[in-house]
Amino acid sequence: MLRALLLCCSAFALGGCVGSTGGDLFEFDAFARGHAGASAPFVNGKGYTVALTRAHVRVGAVYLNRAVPTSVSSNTSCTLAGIYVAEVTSPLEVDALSPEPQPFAASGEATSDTARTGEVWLTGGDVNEPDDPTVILDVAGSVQRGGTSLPFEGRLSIGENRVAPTPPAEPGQRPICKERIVSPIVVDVAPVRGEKLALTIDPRSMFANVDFSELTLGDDGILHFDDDPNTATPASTNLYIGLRATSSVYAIGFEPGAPR
Amino acid sequence: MSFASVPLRARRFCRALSVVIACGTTSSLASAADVVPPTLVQDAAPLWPGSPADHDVVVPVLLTVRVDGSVARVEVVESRGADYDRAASVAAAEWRFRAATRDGVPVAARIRAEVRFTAPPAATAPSQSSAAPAAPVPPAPPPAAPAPQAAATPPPVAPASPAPAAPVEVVVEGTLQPPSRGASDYTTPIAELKRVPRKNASDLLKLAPGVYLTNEGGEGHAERIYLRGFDAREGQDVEASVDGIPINESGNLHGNGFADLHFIIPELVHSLRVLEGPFDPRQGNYAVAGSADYETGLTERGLSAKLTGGSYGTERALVLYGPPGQSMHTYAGAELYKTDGFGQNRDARHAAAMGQYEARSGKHTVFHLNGAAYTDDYHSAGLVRADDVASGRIGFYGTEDPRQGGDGSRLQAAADVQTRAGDFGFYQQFFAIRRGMRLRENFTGFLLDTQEAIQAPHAQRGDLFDSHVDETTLGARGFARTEGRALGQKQELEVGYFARGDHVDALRERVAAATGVPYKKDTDLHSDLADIGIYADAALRPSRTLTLRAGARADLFSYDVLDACAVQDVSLPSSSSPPGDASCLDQERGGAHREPDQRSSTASTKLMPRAALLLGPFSNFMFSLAWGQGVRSIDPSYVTQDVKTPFASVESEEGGVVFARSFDALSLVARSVFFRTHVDRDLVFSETQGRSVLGGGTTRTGWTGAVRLTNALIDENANVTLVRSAFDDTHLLVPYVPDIVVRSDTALGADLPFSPFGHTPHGSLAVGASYVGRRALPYGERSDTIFTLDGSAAVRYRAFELTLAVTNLLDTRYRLAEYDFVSNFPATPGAAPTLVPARHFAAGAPRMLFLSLSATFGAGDS
Repeated sequence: MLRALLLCCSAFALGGCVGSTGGDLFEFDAFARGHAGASAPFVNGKGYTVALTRAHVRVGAVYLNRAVPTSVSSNTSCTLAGIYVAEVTSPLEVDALSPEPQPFAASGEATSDTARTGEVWLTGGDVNEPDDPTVILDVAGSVQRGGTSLPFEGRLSIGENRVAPTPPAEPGQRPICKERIVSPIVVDVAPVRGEKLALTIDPRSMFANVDFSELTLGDDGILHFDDDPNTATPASTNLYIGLRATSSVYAIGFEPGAPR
Repeated sequence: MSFASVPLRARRFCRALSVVIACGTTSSLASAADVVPPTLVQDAAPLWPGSPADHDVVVPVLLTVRVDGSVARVEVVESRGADYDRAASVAAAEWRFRAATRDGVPVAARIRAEVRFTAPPAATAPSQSSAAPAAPVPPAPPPAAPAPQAAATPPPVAPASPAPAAPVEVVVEGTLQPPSRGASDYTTPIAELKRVPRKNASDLLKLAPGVYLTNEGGEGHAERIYLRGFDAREGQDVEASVDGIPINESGNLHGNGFADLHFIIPELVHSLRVLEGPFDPRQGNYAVAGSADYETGLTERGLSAKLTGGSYGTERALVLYGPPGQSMHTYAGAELYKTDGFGQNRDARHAAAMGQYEARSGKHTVFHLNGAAYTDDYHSAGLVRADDVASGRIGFYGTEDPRQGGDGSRLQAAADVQTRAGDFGFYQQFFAIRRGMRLRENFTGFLLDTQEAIQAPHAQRGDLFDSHVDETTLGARGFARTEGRALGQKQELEVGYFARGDHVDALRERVAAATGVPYKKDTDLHSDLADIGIYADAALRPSRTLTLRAGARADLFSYDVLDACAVQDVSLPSSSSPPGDASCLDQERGGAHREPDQRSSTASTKLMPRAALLLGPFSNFMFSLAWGQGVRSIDPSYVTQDVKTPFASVESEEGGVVFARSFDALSLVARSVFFRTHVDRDLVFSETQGRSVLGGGTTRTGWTGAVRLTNALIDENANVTLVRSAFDDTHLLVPYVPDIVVRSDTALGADLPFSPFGHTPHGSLAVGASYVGRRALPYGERSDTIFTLDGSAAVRYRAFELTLAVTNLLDTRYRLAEYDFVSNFPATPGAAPTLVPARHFAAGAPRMLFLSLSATFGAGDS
């Protein structure tokens, strides 16, 4: 009995504490970058050769969640019902043509659970505030088809212009936050202490279904994407859809980095 | 509530009866063996107040003997004249005893004795006087004038000559309780430990091993209790009572069994019994981790007033009154308190009043009437995010939401009677309690107000809970006890009951941060709850050194719950069934109307066997094994029609040893206990609910050591608890529970070596030290360690006492409570929400100084 007592006391006194509640909770650095091939000309799904000279994406936040992605938008909540395992809440204007790491201003927080769903929040401020003129996507470049090359540019925002009409019985069915949150992005990643979160944006995929012939040529000789859904051409709508695409555009992972 | 805390007065009664037996009187009723009355080790002879008489003068007195053997109080039973009474009191107050013991443990006691003024032999030698403590109360000799021939002789001091006769009656009081259930049955007379600075009556719980208290809800919010590996929240797992009156609030929305101890005036607490485990059949609902039973009393008679001023605008006024010549259980007291609070948003104010009257009818019947009133109002800093503090956005003593706080009130009245007839002792108590509580807390900031399709589009409006509970409780308890002899030993049997009914109105709404008005009703419950239990407890003694205490308790819990907000959604929203933004909705579905409320009722029973085996004493060692099952009833919000109520059941076992010995005036009690406890449905803190919710099964194993050392100079109470508390399925640690708790309370007191104006001042020092190891937090985290020192110094001169108390003597900046969970307190409006768990904490108080001046008039020390 005495020996057991001594052992017990020693374990507590020397170890201080025995056991764990499991898991881990830590901070990490995060960065975003463009896809390595984004600055090279590419052919989109409609057969146009596109050369991007500017592709800036305003990222408000990045989240990872344990929930398994579903194709059904099951609720009207801005956030998932599952447990969030990582977040980067500082905004960043990402140059999606640069493959160089562009660090987020503040570190993120994570647990060590495996994430199945990623979210990229495309917002300039309050995700619930309808009146937000922040430009979320700013692109420019040239497009060539059949020997004709024309410059294009577009600036898309997600504000009052994206507020959808709702049925009177369910006025909260389509909150503006659902327009701003790109989700679910399929991931399979477990945050690791000491590693960095990497958000990779491939702007080429945003143009996958853009038929540039649907764009109107401006007096300045430039093809313009329209930011007003009510007057937008299908090409403008498809670029907006591409901006919010949950596959191919955004990739989230953890990469080795200097330990924190 | 349950029998876990058998009324203290009932215990006194039974104890008194038992001692009568032990002392060999003709009474045949006794309740507990192993009670040894005080024995005289040093006396002081009385001085003849005038001229010695030609015959002895005997003054019968009642003495209250402390656990350190000193005499706390002298009461003259039958006057022999003011001069003799005074001289007898002076002499008896100087006597020293070996303290009474119960089950080998020193206890305070009240004994009959007599002070004898011995006449000079045959008018020759000078007259002398002597003391005769613990002597039979003789037929009262007639008071006589001093003999003229002795008048001129100065009365010398006679050597001690205690009378050899046995006492005729001993009344043990102060640590009176049901029979010990083993080594984890801690009865702690507060005695001189009252000098250790304590914020309130909850702090007294730290005298028991393994107790750690936190409070993130503000000064008026009940402390969160951690007891020997349990996170008992605000009493949900600790059955609490004061003078047998239950404190746990059944059906409280913030926590079923919520126990707010703040209405107890600390100076009126005479002793505290903490039984760490469900080992006594008298324990009932909520005795999962154990039970805590406060006994009130006022030993210092007369009128006392105390004024305190201190740091952060703290002011307190206290008045106490105990009619001289009456029992310490007749008293009245009231206090007013206010503070601006350290840091931000911690102001508080409260008032409390308690009173009790004890009356006797005949030799064996005692009545008590008591009542208490309490009200408070306070603000709370709540929890703050550690990253907000690190970034400087919020100060260490700041707050995330200054709207947090609350108020509360409690009114209670009780009456009891205890008597005996023949071989039976009876006890009966009735009580009535009215309790109100409002609580505003915000753990998660702006997180929970999700957009619903039926709601108008909105952003997060804030997660401030505004909870309100109104509760009325009526109840009764009683028992009968008898005993007999078999196998040459005393055998005992007690049967008793407990009945309690509660009507509870509980409402919880969420308040919009921008407007301060409620925007959503979470809960609106109206419950009628009942708990009726019966128990039997037997003490079987096959030999002098072996006692088996075994019994069982069965309770029936019934629920009748009206949920006035049972429908918070519209299944088929349409123009004919518009949802609007209301919380509690009636609706039309397919032409059928649906009211928003729903009533549910159910009832279940629970049988709880308990037993303790006591071996000894052998050379001052007493060994014990204890086992028992306990129960915590569930929150009314979980009640479903005709579905058996799920209980949280606990099973606990332990083995321990107690060493108790007196060395003249020094008494020592040391304990060592190994324990194991299993709960099938433990409580797990939910920040989204703002309270604990039912979780999985947990098991805790550990060891506790405790020491109490007392003599006339020092009173030391120290304990260490090591425990591992883990979930059954994953074997991971239960978060928030401290695995190392060390506590020491020390009080020193002595007369000072000078006597200005002919009176000797008395000085005292007291220190309370706490150490809590790094507590397990979710996600593999650990909290900081905590080490705090509190101290006080006091000087008493005649009727006045000046006290300087300092809490957190080292001015340690520490985190009293730490949590890991998800919250979103945006630094700027509209910032991206924080959705990953983060560290939160409640700051411990910085160093605070308090200066008190008290005065006592009317009866002096008792």
